[in-house]
Amino acid sequence: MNILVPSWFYGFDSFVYLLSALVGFTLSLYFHKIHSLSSIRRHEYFYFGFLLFSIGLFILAVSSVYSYVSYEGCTVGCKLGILDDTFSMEDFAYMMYFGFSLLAYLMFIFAYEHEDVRLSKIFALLFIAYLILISLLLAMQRSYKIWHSYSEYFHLTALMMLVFISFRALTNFYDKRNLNSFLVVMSFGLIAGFHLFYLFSSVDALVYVIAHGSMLAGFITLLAMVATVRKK
Amino acid sequence: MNDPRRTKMQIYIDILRAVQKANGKMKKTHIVYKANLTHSRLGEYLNHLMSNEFITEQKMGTQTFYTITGKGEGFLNGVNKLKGIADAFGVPL
Repeated sequence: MNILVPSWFYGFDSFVYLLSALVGFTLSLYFHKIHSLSSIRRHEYFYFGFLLFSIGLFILAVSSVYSYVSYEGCTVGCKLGILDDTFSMEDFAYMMYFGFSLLAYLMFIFAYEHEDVRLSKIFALLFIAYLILISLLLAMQRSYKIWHSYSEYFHLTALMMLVFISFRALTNFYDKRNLNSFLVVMSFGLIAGFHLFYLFSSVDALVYVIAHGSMLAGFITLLAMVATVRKK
Repeated sequence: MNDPRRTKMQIYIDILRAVQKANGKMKKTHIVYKANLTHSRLGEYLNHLMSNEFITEQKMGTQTFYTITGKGEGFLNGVNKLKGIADAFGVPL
């Protein structure tokens, strides 16, 4: 399955990845400062989470720019999927992005469940069971290329993790009832929306655009939260 | 939930906050009570804060007061901003 990218959107997705990487990196710096004050493990998880996330997005940004510059004949719609069976640079970049993103989401989950050991164990067991199931499914599909830029397994996994993270952020909002915690819920929800829409990006090119719009909105919301806090 | 033992940084913040809340000026014994410390350890922390110019010592007769400086206020302001971000994510400082 190939994702469809409208020609007018070429480069905008690279911009979205780059901007998101910058916002993620900014937040990692803030959490680094927070952790230096608190020495609390949860803050360290958020620091590493945002750092890993921004590294993955930056790799994707560079790779997508390279892709657009390199591909010839991308006119009305560019099928950025498997071009051949060779594991190319773009495929490597997507693999890196997948890995870094999932690790980042895992860090966020650890941050939220750090002190709830019982829930952490339940989650860990469920996640391992899910990974085993995915591995079995992949093993059955011998022709499946895991480095495919459209990887439904990655986006589905990421979506599930983000739903959990968004839920934890939502419980924090119900507790705090302030603008900043609301913005965090919105941002995680919008980033989850990116993965959700990406699952359907092979249906219509516009879905690819909506997916990236969702990601951009998510990171802009995070930036707005930081700006609101700094203004006080 | 925070770790059971405060770090040194957390103690410095607690001391500065206690002094700030008391209109920027506080006696040693009041700091001990408000920041939940012991007399024996307080001296070490106050010396560190004074060496970083976050507080100053003022003697008025037989009494010694500690006053938060502009630098100390700025540090607390920065901490409050970081606290705002941590609270927004539900991982309080």
